Amino acid sequence: MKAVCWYGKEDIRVERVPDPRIINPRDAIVRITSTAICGSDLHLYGGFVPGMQKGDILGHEFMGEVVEVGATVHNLVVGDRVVVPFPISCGNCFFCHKDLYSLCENSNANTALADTVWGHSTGGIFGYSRLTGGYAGGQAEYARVPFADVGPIKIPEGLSDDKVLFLSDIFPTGYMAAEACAIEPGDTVAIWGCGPVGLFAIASAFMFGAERVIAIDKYAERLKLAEKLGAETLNYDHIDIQETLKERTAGRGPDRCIDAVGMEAHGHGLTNIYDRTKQALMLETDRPIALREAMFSCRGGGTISVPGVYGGFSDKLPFGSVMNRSITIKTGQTHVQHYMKPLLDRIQKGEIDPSFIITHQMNLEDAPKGYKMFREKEEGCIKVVLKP
Amino acid sequence: MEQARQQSTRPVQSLSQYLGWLSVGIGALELLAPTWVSRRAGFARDNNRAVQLSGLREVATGIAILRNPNSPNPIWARVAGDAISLSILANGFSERGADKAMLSTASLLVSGITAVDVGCAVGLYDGWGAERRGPHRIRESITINKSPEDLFRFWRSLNNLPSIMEYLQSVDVRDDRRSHWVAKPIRGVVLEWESEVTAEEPNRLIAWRSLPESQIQTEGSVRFEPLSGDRGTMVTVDMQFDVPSRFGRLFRPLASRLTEAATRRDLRRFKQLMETGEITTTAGQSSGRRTGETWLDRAAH
Repeated sequence: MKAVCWYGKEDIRVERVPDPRIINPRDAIVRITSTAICGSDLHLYGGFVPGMQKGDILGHEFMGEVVEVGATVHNLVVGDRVVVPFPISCGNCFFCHKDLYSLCENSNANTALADTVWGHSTGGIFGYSRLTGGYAGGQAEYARVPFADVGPIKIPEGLSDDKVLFLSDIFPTGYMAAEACAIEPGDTVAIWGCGPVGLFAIASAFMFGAERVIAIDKYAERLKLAEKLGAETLNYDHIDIQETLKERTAGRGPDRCIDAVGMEAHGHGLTNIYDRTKQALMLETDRPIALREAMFSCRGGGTISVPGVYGGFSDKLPFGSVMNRSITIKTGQTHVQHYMKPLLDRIQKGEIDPSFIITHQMNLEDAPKGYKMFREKEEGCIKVVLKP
Repeated sequence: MEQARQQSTRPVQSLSQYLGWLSVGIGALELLAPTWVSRRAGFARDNNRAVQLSGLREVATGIAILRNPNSPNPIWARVAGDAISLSILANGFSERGADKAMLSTASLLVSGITAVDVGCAVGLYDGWGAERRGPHRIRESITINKSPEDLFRFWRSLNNLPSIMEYLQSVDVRDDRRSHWVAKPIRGVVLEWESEVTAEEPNRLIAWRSLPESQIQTEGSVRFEPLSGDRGTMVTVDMQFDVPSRFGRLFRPLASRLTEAATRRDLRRFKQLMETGEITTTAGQSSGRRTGETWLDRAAH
């Protein structure tokens, strides 16, 4: 089959590789009909995530048709159309029982690495380095799905791939970020980053009853979409975010802040130079510029929710501000399995059509072009969907 | 026996003291007369700073050795220093105008001292801290979302164990107490031993010990303790083992660390199998590599 493989920093290729096969009794094989490039894939593309090896198959947002099931998978049959959640979860452990699926204790086959880098390991994730299990991903014609009796959700007839594909990651991710904010009536929510997760966070914040959403980015196309969703927008290229947020919230700061940017933030001024230098010298793995701004900006007693991906170590976080001003921080890889069913219901009821973020559809063969385009934000690129 | 071991290392201790004074002497010379040392060694240029730095290192390791002539660690520091000196000497050959005969003599001399250093360190290792080290002990535990009964039942059928223990080839159960174990810890090494169950408390504990005539001496226990709430069972493995040969003893820190990591992995697999019914793996999955598994896959488990 054809698969998108990682060969190094900014070096990905579409290669012919062996077809996946059932390895464990709870596996299934899915023939992929749609798969997307995620913003977090760009961290791999840029070489910021440790634990990658040449030839690793990328991709954790995918859906398709079940073509084979293992001996103990009873809830799926060949021919079922499913969306696969990006965390791999056993459904049996302490964390899965608590619906904290991305912390599954049994799905990470490479725990020693994560134990060392993060103190404790997390669950497995498709196509996302050995820190999260070293699983082959879904930017391919077929994928092996472990614990297929827990993760994949069956899609009813009549819903197009484009409408449901993002149940695999970014819609639940934006939704969980907004939910974690514990939004109260009248709240103003500031959201850093209007990429796909940021956009879904905007939509979700309104679902949870936010009065106002202030969205921050620098790309015109993204800001335009954010406005369409009902957000006020700020372009950090032109204004001082902290000052402006203060003004817009009558001096108090936004009640809730969402960092939908993560470890490769861009910024201006001294801290930007500081982070870029330290990252280049490998003294710091992450550039937490958005997180710092959120910490300074958030109102006392407010909440900061972090769906943006961080990899390792961040410097100069103003924790004094967080502590003294009673700020709550909520974060985590999304527990997608917990959100798929209710969000599918919302899509079916027509409350939201997640396909609004798709700007580019390509063949799987064009993945290298898609990655570059998404990274450079060429041609107004917001979301790339690949068709194998 | 411990006393005998300590007596046998006494000549090595005086050798280590001698090496300590040698370190201090050479170091002082390098510090005070770097130009002379540099020229006698056959270097084309005077590199006083490098020689003085090396002198500082020599004095420091010398003092460390004299403060604790029983410890192999500062002697290993000397070996590392020797390696640095040798590489500096090797560099000297490429300088124009170097006295190659002198450089060769100096290299030969340093190589000789290196050999003595290594011998001394290995000799000391045998006696040093033996009483503190004793046989190596390992303790690892894990929480499993199953009842003690389920876990005990699986473990007590000893021939189940090769399915969760990566180095274990087979367990042949002879009778209620005795069993024969075969393990392959590294390629080309097969260890076999007879083991007997020395204690057993249903659903709580199993203890075992290898029989005296076995190739390796090991004893251990596994305990199953119910946890509060719905947290399942805490499984704790205690083990100690001794590798008999001198060679084995030298590499024991490494061996024990590897065994510790392997025990941790084995317990993980036990958890996976008991909770999910299968053992998590990526072995055999697709990739854009001709050989599926990489060094990192093996290291990361």
